[in-house]
Amino acid sequence: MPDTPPSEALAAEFDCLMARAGITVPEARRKTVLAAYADLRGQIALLHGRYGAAAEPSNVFRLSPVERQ
Amino acid sequence: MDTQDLSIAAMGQALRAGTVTAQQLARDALARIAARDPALQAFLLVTETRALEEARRADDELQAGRDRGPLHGIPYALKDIYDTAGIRTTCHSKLRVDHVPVADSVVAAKLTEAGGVLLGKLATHEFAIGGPSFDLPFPPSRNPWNTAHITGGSSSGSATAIAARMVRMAMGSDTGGSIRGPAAWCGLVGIKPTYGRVSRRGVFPLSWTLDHCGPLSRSVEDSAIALQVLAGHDPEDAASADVPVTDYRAGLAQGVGGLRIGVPRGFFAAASMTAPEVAAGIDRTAALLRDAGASVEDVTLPDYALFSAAGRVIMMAEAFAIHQADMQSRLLDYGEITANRFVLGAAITAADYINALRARRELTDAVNSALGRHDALLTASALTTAPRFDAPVDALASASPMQTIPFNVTGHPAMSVPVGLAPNGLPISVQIVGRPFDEAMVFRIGRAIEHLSGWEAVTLPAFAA
Repeated sequence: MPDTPPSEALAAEFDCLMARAGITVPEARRKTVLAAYADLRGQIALLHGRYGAAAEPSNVFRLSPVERQ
Repeated sequence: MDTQDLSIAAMGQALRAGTVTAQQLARDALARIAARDPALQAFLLVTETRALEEARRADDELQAGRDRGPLHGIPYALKDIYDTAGIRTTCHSKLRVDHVPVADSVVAAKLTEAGGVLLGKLATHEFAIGGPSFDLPFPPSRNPWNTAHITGGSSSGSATAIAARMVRMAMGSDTGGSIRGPAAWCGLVGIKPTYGRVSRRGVFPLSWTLDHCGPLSRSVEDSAIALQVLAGHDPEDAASADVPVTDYRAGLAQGVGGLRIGVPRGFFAAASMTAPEVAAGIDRTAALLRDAGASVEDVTLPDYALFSAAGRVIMMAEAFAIHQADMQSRLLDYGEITANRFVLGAAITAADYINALRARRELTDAVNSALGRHDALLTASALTTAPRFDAPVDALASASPMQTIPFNVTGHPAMSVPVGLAPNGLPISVQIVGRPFDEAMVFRIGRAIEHLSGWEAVTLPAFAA
């Protein structure tokens, strides 16, 4: 989701994500949360497309040998 | 003896000299809490009976020749996300308002073993994120420097209790700045140790890979003493680091001669929120460090916005994973700020989260590189002084007056140290960032700043005893 879509599309996207997560945002809070979502989308855009396939995330891990006890 | 301004070391000396008892220290602290807390709301629960019992035991042990070390007989308090066996631990939330843990957090257990005297449990933003808010089971704590102003969060009660001189040291937690922020806005020292330095076990998580435990206190020395007790490997905490703990007080008096300190000026110089007095405080601190023999020069780090974005995505995604079931079934039992923040986590995709973790690797490498050339970094803790309750910061916006989250993302040790008062009478601070597990260097530079800035001569807010 690299780009911030128009507000109607943004709202539809937000509603879809909330429905998928099983969350019901009260109508009285919807405008506030939607504005925060738009702001968050802007931050997410900073992270998108920045890295090539070789750039690994910080949680790539290393195993240690396990000795039989 | 008036005990409210005694440092931890001074209390320890007085206890061992027999000029004060742990019971007197506890009674004095409890009296200050009774007198001051109704207006400040730092404490959710005062554990008076336990405090007096622990103080009596501390006195008996010293009399019998058993000395548990520098926190023996010293009063402290815990943010109410630290589990305490048999003592209610609420996370300042309706969801856990009756929760009584069966076991201590590792930190609580270590402080007990060290002879500390628990005064009680302290206010926080709900689940260490949602506040300040008036729709929770308990009111928000207030800034002792001016009660119309917030303390910052989420270790809000910890900062209030110390700045109001109810207690000398209290535990906080720091996921995006929740130790350093309140410390900055209340004129205190707050250290977020290296990730993995202090066990998180038994502390309610906000975001597993960003959460850090650490103390807030009146002075760098107090914090060094406290962290000495808390630091160490916990094999049952998956993030705990098995790295030797050095003597944090050994270098406090060494000064900064010959040290190289980098200033990531790009973090704060162009930020729209930066108050002139905050920028001036950093420049003044840099000049003082230069005069004391340090080399201070600007350094370039990746754009602050990248740190902020990575931190927010990681925090929201992990927090939502923790709270998803309750968000689905009891959303309205959360405070509105908390719920609105956690809901955003549901909108973060797996790719968003992974990209944030890729950024974390890049950013950690960049900070490590800068610290390969410098002994520490000097930057802002907060870009402003503490806002008023009636002019709050938008808790849902990416724009923040805090400049703390970069070092939650990278895990480096970072400490807020007060350097003066702004024209509005509220504290301003700087942040010192060190190499991984080099808290000793952070304390050394922080101690020099505390002394050079003249902060030691600043009088804390006065309250009726």
